Formats: sequence, C-alpha cells, structure tokens
Amino acid sequence: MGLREYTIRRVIELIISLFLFSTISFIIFRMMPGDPSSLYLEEGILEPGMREAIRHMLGLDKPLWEQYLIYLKNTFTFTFGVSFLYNKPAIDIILSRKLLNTLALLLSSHGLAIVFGILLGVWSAWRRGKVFDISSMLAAFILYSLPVFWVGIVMLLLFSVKLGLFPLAGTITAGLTHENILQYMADYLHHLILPATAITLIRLGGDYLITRNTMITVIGEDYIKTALAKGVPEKIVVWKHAARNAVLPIVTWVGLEIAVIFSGAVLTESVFSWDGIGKLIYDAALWRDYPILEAAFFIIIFVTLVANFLTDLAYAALDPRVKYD
Amino acid sequence: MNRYLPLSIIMILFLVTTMFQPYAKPVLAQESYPEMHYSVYAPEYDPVRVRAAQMFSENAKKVGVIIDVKPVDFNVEVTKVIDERDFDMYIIGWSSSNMPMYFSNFLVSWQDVPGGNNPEGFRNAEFDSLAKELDSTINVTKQREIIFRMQEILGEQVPRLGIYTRYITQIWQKGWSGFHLEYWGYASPLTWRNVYNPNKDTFIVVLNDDMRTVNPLREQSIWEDYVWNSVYDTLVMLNDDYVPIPWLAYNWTVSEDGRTWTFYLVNNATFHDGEPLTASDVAFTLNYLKDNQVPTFISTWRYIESVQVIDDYTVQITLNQTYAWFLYYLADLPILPEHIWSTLTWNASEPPLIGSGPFVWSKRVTGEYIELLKYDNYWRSDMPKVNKLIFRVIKSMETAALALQNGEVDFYTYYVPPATLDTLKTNPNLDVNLVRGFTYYYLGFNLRRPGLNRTLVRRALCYLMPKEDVVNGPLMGLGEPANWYISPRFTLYYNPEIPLKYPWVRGGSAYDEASRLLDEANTMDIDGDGVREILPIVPTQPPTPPPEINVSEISEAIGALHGAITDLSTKITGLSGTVSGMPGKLSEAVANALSGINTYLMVLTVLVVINLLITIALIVLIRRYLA
Repeated sequence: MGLREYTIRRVIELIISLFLFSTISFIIFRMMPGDPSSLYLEEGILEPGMREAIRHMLGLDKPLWEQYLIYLKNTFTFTFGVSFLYNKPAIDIILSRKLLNTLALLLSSHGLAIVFGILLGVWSAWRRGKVFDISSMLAAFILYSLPVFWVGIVMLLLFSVKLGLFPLAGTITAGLTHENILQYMADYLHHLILPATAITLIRLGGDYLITRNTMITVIGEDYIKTALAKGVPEKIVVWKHAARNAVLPIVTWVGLEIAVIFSGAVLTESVFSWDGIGKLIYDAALWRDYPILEAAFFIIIFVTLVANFLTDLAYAALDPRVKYD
Repeated sequence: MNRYLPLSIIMILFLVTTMFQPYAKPVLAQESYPEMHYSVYAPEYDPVRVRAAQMFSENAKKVGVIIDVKPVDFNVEVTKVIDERDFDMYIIGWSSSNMPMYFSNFLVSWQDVPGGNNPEGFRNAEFDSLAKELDSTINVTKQREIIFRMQEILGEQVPRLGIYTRYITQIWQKGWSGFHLEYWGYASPLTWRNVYNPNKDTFIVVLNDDMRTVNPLREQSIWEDYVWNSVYDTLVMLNDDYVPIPWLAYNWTVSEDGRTWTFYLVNNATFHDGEPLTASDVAFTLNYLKDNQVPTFISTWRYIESVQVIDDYTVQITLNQTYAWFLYYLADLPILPEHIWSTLTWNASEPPLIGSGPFVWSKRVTGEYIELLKYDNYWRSDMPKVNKLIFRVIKSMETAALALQNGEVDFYTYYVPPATLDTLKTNPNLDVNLVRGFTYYYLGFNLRRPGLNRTLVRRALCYLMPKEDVVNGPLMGLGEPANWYISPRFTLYYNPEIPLKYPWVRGGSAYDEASRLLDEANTMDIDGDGVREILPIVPTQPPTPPPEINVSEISEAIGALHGAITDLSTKITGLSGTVSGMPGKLSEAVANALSGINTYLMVLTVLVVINLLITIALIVLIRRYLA
C-alpha cells in the first residue's frame, strides 16, 4: 500500500473516531448528575420558578434526542453551541486569549524543562555515582514530589512580596495602556516568568529522571565502549553517540503530552491567576457547562488523533523499516 | 486424615454460625421497627461542612443513632435534595435563606414539590398562612410580628438547624474611606459612589472571579454585581440597615392596597451617551423583563400587571397582588436605556454597556481586569469621588492577600485563609475588618423519613450538633455558631429569643438531654446492637422497658421452648429442605410461646440446641457412611 492510500484510510478512520467520540462526549457529560441551573443555587439566587425558567433558557427542557441533533449540528459546524456560563459560542471562549495564555505558559515551561532535564540527565548518568549525580538526583526527587501550588506560593512570597521583582497575578499589568507591541510583550514576559519557572521546576525532575535512566542503559552498550576504546573524545561520545539515543523516550513522551497542554494546568493557573484553559474547563465541569466541555473534549480528541496520525506518518518517513499497513 | 476433613469443616461451620451474633439477628429484628440509621450529605469541596457532618455523626453515635457522612459533589447534593428529595439529612450553605424576604416562600407546603424551597417536606398550617399573610403585608411592624412568629415555629419544630456562619474579611489600604460594607459583608453599590482617598484617584478592587458574561441581565455572581452596580443605577438603594432609600426615584408612594406604586424620578439623570433617563426608560425596563420572562429577575417582574408613564419623570407600576418585597427587588434592577435595548435581544452576548451609573465602561481584558472611568455628568455631582475604578481579577485568595500586602490592590472583601489573616492584621498599611457574612450553613432534615418525622427526635439531634467545636475547630475561629433563622444583621426582623426559648437550637454535645428526648420519642435499642429502633408511638401508654432476666424465668422459658422445639421438629421433614424456613417459624413459635422474656437470649439458646442436634446427627451419619 502506498502513502496515498494509507493517508486516505487514516483520514477516514479519523472522521469515524471523531463522530464516535463526539457522541460519547454528549452522553457522558449529560450523565453527570445535576445541571447548570445549580450554579444559581450556589450563588444563593434561588427564586421560585427560576430553575425551570433557566432550564428553558438553556434548552435543557427539550427531549434528549432533540438536544443531540442540535449538538451534532453545532459540533460539525464547529460552533459547539452557546456556553451556558459565558453566553457566547463555546468555540469563541476556548480559541481566545485563554488558549494563547495556556500555550505560552505550558510550551515555554515544558520546553525549558525538557532542555534542562535532558542536559542534566545525560551528564548525571555519565558521572554516575559522583557528587554531581547524587546531588542532582536528590534535587530531582525533591522537585518531582513538590506540589506546584506550594512552590507557586513560596515563589510569590519570595520574589514578589519580599523582593518585589515580579508581579503577583495576571498576565499583564491591570489598567496599564501599552504604548506599543514591544512594551506589551515585555509586560507579558515579566508576568510569565514566575509561573513558567514554577512549572519548569516541577517538570524538570521527571524529565531528568527519565533521561538519566535511559542514558545509563545506553552507556552500557558495546558501541559506546568501542567509541571510547578507539579514542573518540569523551564529549563527543556522550553528546553525539549516547545522548541521541537516550532522548528518544522523551520525544515519545512529549508527543503524548500534547493533549495535556489543551487541558491546561489548573493549579498553576489558580495560584498565579493565569487566565488559561485549565480553570475554564474546571469551572465548566463544576457547573455543567456542556457546550464548553464538549468543545474542549472535541478539541483535545482532535488534537490527539491528528498528532498520532502525524507521528505515524513521520515515523514511516523517517524509518524505512516501518511499513504502511 | 483426609476423611475427617469434611467432618471438621462442618463442625467448624456450625460452631461459627452458633457463636456469631448476626446469625440470630435477622430472625429477631422485626421489620416493623426500623433502626435509626441515617445519612447526611455534605458538599465534598468544603472540608468545614464535611467535618461538621463527621463531628455530628460521632456525637449521634454515642446516643445510639447512626449517621453516615456522605461527602458528595455539589450538583449531586442539589439533585438528591432539591430535585429528588431522596435524602435523610443534608448540610448546605445557602446565601439567602436567612433573609426576611425569603420567609414568604420557603418551608411552605406549596414549595414541597421537586425543585421547590421545601425539600424537608415541612408542613405546618400556621406557618403556611403566616407566609401568605407576609407576602401581602407592607406594614413593617406587622411584618415583624409575622416573621417573629414564623421563627418561633421553626425553632419549635426545627425542620432545619443553623450550624455556623463565616466571617467575611474586609481589607483595604489605609487612607481610603467611604465604604458601605455593613450589610452582606460585601460592598454595596453605595461604596463605589462614595469611596474616597485624598491622595489617590484610582481605586483597585479584587474580583475573586472574572465576569462571565457582559450582559447585566445575565448576572450570575456577586463579582458581576460589583461591576453592574457601578455602571448602572437603580430606582432605590438599600442602606447599611437594609432599608430602601431614594435614589433615581427621589420619592415614591404606594396605594392603600399595596398594589399601585408611583415613583418620582430625578430630572437630571442621563445615560452615558448623553440621552436623558426618563420614566419611559423605567417602564421599558420593567416591560422588557416581563415580556422576555428574564429568569434572573423573575422576582422583580413576577407580579407586575402594567406600567404606566404618567409624565416624563413619573412612573406608575400596578401589581396584580400586594407584594411586600417589591422595593427590595427594585434595588437590584438596572435601569436600561430604551433607545439601545429596544432593538436588542435580552440575552445578547455583547450588548453596548451604556448605563446611567457613576462609572463608564471603558475597557476589559478577559481574565485580567475591568476598567471603569468616572462619568462626569452623573446626576449627583458629588459622586463618584475617584476618577478610575479598576476591578482586578485574582482568583486565588492567597494571592489576593499577597497583593494587598504588596499594595497592588486597594480593597478586597471575601474569605482569606486563617494563616494569612494574622499577617494581614499586623501590616501597618492595612485596615482589616471581620464581619458576619450572610451565607448560612445549615442542617436540613427530611421529615418524610421514619424517626425524623418526630419533632422530639429532631430536637435531640439538634442537641448533638457541636456548633462551637465546628467554629473553633475546622473553621479556626473565623465565624460563629448560627443560632437563628434570620441573620442578626436584620436587626428589625431577627428574633433574639429563639435560642433562649428553644435551647436545642443552640446545639452542642448534650448527650443526656439528647438521650432523654430520644427515649421520650419512643426510640430505644431493643436488640442490644447499640442502635436505637424506632418504636411506634402508643399515645396513652409509655413504652415498657425490657424486663430484667432472671434464672427461674429462663428455666421456665426453656421448658416452654422444649415444647416448641418438639412441635417444630415434627414439622421438619427433611433437614436440608427446611433449614432456610426455620428462622421465620422459630420466631413465630417463640413469640407465641413466650412473651416477656428476653427473646434475643431465648432464640439464641434454641439455635444452639438445634445446631448441636444437627451436628450430632451429621457426625453419626458421616461416621457410618465412612465406615
């Protein structure tokens, strides 16, 4: 089978999966007990007759099959219906500043964590048993086990309150009118540093440990011994011969993490008042905002499936041993 | 060795079944006497309420009432309690249930429907008629009398029990003045109009959550209220004592029957686009809400029959029934500009935000802040007293507290973590004020459940709610026990005698008192398992306690038993066939043969004897077979 047939087959599979998953997401969110009208209860604005009126307003008093047809129409026109909480098309709520904020935060912090995790992991494995290895192992275990909200609060206390170096909350300075795009970006970066550092620190531990483990296996291979024996400089052996093979599991892991990015980082976003997707989805789940949930679910599935598809294609292109089937 | 194995297994089985108490229990626990075994729902996200439920349950266990604590998702609790009414007890925080205006519509029989305000199923004819009377009473003294009596009925019958109320922390930078915070613990609309600092002209307020919609008719939370209260004006306002005061309407009159209200408007109010605010805008707003059946304002338009514009600055509203709380609801109603909204649908997602309030909508960055600027032509020339009002979104309470310490924000009202509070109090730049919030955390009983339908049982359980311990323990002192049905903040309507007259309302860990009440309610532990059974109430005769057991009675009983057993054994045709049917027959036989003896001991004896007989028979059989 050629590349073309393979691609066509995978695209058809993708569409079928999307349809299946969208039906599942319709069912599972409506299976959760309660409905959006309970939001008004928690806020204490319960007036007689109000909940029925709200259900009617949100179209929840329609029969389920009718709701499903409306949902299908909304899903495959990519509007996902009007959010119950925000009174706007769900897709506009998700594909907004919130998504950009989350992407900026998670891509930068995960990127930094991966780079530093690989560098430290490789070097630590090479220096196995030495002071550097033991101390960085210890640090990695401590970082890996710290809760992000605690790290966040400590960082805020230290760098914002005591030292006054960074702002406390938000993505830009409240009420400030930026003169040009550069000033805006500087302001944004200034706000980004603390939350991104917090996530980097937490993630670093995991990335480091994985790299170190695979690196230790790789170092034991014969070709490394051969390279050393024939007099290749140590640095070249470590970074060119060994590290290249050791980072492969990390790459796979990153591919799997892409979907996670779309579900955001609720805890970090809360501590730093970072207006992102995580809190949005959390609130939507809490208050049963079906359109937002369905849209988010759909996008996460879509991204995962497409990423999977692209990875497969890339593998096939890169590795001649892989066959299309 | 192997051939004795089945034998020993059988021996062990019979010994175990004989010695095991529960074996005898199902025989005796008569289905007609249900146990006092209940459950209580609490929202899982709030550790304080869950802990309160656990402490309550621990206390109840000591007097023989089992209460399982079920922490559940808030939505599950609402569904179970409000919609399905399938619960025993529940703990919830209800913002408005201790407000006087609530008294005409909660715990009344016509709200005992799915989704209604009476999930408890409380039915009291006097309470019902008082509620009806209250709805159509506009005389304050009379209202007070009615509400006082209604609180007494609740105190006496306790369908609900207040547990605690939390303190709201109000913190601001020193130098600011003009706050109106007394009422809810939150800032009233008067705050935005009066707040002042000689050295600053920008006032920065923390919003604990971003605005979700930018349509004032879709308001969902107190945080949105903050913004709408600054951009829009209302006909009347509520002062710090929760009494309506003139605002856009400088005066009003109400007819004898309380159905015709006439409002006289100030003549210099304008909208932010320069158009004057007139009676037709008021009439439009009310009609618009009614025509569109806007759910969030249902209490405002519910009783409106018609609205007439008398002249440019006089408007007359006719209601289809007397409505005591009409003014209070008008205090929440933004007056919309007719020339803008007449072409809009009511739930438009982004309507132009033009009001007549002291601040003009300027800018919003989603999730970050909302910026409002002073409206220079505000009809009250002395207001507002700052040039810029910024609502800054900070979702985490800890971070909000840090921002206050840093001087990044000027004002914050909400809850702060107790540990943070100490730091804030010692900060010389901050004024910290703790007030009783208006959220009321209470325990509700399902009056349809056996046992809980008895007033004495409910009173006994009330005695077991350790309110003080909840406040000092999980709440860490940031609150107080709620011994009321109307918050003491409503000085006019709060009946201070309730906790004195009905001591159970105060809660505590009064085991003796609770046990006494439970005994009086005819519940007792008749099968010795530590859990009380609910006995039927025999109006004339007090329940007879189980008599003392003495030896002669037992020997008599065993004599009688012998008869019963021989009678039984004739009925037992084959061992295997009837074993399952035996307990029923036995208890019948026992009940007939012997009354007045501890039946539990007796049946146990019978079972031991029968087991022994069967065992011996089996041993003989098996040995013969094996041989």
